[in-house]
Amino acid sequence: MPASTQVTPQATRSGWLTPRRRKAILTRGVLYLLLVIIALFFAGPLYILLSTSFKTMPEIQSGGLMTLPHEPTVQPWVTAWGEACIGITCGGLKGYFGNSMVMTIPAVLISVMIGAINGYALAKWPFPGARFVFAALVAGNFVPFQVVLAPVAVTLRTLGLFGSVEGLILIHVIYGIPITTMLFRNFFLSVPNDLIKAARIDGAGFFWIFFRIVLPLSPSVIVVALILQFTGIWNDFLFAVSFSNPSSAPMTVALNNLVNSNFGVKEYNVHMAATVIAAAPTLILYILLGRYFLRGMTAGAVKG
Amino acid sequence: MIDIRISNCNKSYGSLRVLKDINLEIERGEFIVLLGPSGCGKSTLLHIVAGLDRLSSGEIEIGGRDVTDVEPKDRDIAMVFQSYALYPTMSVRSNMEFGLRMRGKPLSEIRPLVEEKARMLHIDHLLDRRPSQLSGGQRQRVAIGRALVRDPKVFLFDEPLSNLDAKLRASMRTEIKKLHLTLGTTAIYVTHDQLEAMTLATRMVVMKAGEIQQVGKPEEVYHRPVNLFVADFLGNPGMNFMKGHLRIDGGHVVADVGAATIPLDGYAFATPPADGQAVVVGLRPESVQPATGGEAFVLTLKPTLTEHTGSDNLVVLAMGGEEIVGKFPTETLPKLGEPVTVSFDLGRLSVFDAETERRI
Repeated sequence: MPASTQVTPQATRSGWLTPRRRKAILTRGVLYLLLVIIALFFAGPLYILLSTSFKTMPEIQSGGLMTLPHEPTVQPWVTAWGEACIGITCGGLKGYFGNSMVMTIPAVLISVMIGAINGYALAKWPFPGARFVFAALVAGNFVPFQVVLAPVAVTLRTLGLFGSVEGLILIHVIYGIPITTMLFRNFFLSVPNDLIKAARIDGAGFFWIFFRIVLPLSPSVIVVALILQFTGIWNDFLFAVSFSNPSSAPMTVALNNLVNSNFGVKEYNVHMAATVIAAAPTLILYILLGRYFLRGMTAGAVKG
Repeated sequence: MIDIRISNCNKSYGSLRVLKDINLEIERGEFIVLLGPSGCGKSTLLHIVAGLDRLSSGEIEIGGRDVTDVEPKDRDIAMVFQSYALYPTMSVRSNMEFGLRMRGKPLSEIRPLVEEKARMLHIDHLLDRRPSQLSGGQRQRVAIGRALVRDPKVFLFDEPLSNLDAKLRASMRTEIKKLHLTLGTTAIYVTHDQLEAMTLATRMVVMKAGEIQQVGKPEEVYHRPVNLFVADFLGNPGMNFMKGHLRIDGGHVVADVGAATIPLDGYAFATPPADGQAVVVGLRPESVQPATGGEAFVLTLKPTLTEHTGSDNLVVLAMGGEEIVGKFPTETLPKLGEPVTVSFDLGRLSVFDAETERRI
């Protein structure tokens, strides 16, 4: 058909090598190059960490930081988990990993729950002085933890919780509340007030509305709060090193003691494996929940 | 029997007075429409009746019981919101069941009730859907269904049709009217749409700046507005206003509006007219008609603009230095600039004092 062989003006304009097209490709190229460089910058240390953790000590001592392990071995991981000497005991990290879990999980759950209820009350049940309470809580986010070390130490000693996992849980809950409250309050502001009013007329009270109507709308902010709190509490070193004793010390403290130990040869492969073990829970949490992102949960509640 | 009594109700936010001494008595089975421009306090009044807002002073009675300090859930009311306010994470069925479940009614009794009301509103095929899967009209039906299931003493509607398109709004309006005729439940309905107010209300309440302007049957408020605000607020296009003075001539009262002298012999004055009193004479566009001969009062005026609306022709007529609008039948389309003879329906006149703006 002769018509189909004609080159229309549109076809020319959207053709492959027009100047505009070329410029777009160039921009894309630069963008990807930058992204690759940034990715390498962050992935590099992780690569060294992982490859070194599977090497034997002689191989590490022979140099070649960037090379892949010639004779991969999991011995460093076994040592780090169950045999490495930390302080005067040689049971590896497993006990401390347990300490961290026992401390982090309750602290995260309690601080997220309290933050959610606080945020809900502040956003949806305005009471006299609510603005002041919120301002005070926001200010709580800016208190440097070093400032409170001494008062917290005295408080924990008075409560008889110094050096215990419970003491650490308490401190992490208290210092987690400002940020979780702020997160939830700001999210709940976007929940339509008419929903609360409708539920009140239907006969639901403060907690019924919270659990049946508001929380089911909030999986995304719950996940954000969980990740934020888990990462912060799991990775905390300052409170951990200040308020724990050898039997209640969490991972961060144990890792520090292992790596900074002054006895014998520095077993880099064990240190690297230990570091990966210490970072694993937060990494896994990100991989599992990071993609958990819900949009349009309120669609249908209001005009749409 | 009085179902709702609002006595000396005041509401202030700081120094801002949103409601000023509202008094209103609503009989059982009435459909009361609160009408007014944005910010007139009509929604606040509704929320106070619902118990969602506290009043600064005054009393609310529902069904003979003082509910001023009673929680919304214990007032035996149900409310339909402009935003529908359906619980987004629940199915239509759960939305409709929620209120009764909160009241501890067994599910075996709730189920048939919900199904019955759903059939009534033609949403029985949607019961297992989520609100986000419904169209605007369907959502509003569910919202109304949720209120119906509760079988409350009073229905409260907060601009329920404002989010719907014009056609759907008209059909939902008719359905709400039918529902009220069937159920006979007392209802308070807030809107800024005068068509909704005129068609739905058994009595309407026109509000402005936190005060009630007029309470009455729609036709009464439409034809006998108590002041210039009400006269101007109702009607589309709005009432024609002609400024002038009263003249009393040997027992005959006339209004001298410059371009014409309008006889007011048949006008029922609420207050005795005074010679020389400055007045505004109001006449609705549909009372300005092409003359067919034999009318009591005719004028010859020049059309300056005509508009077809489909159902009638709006004709703008120059009258002295001012303009008035006539709503002519479609078959009558005057040519621009060619004088036409129009008649005024003197029985539909409204006369207001120019200073107090009240009907006289």
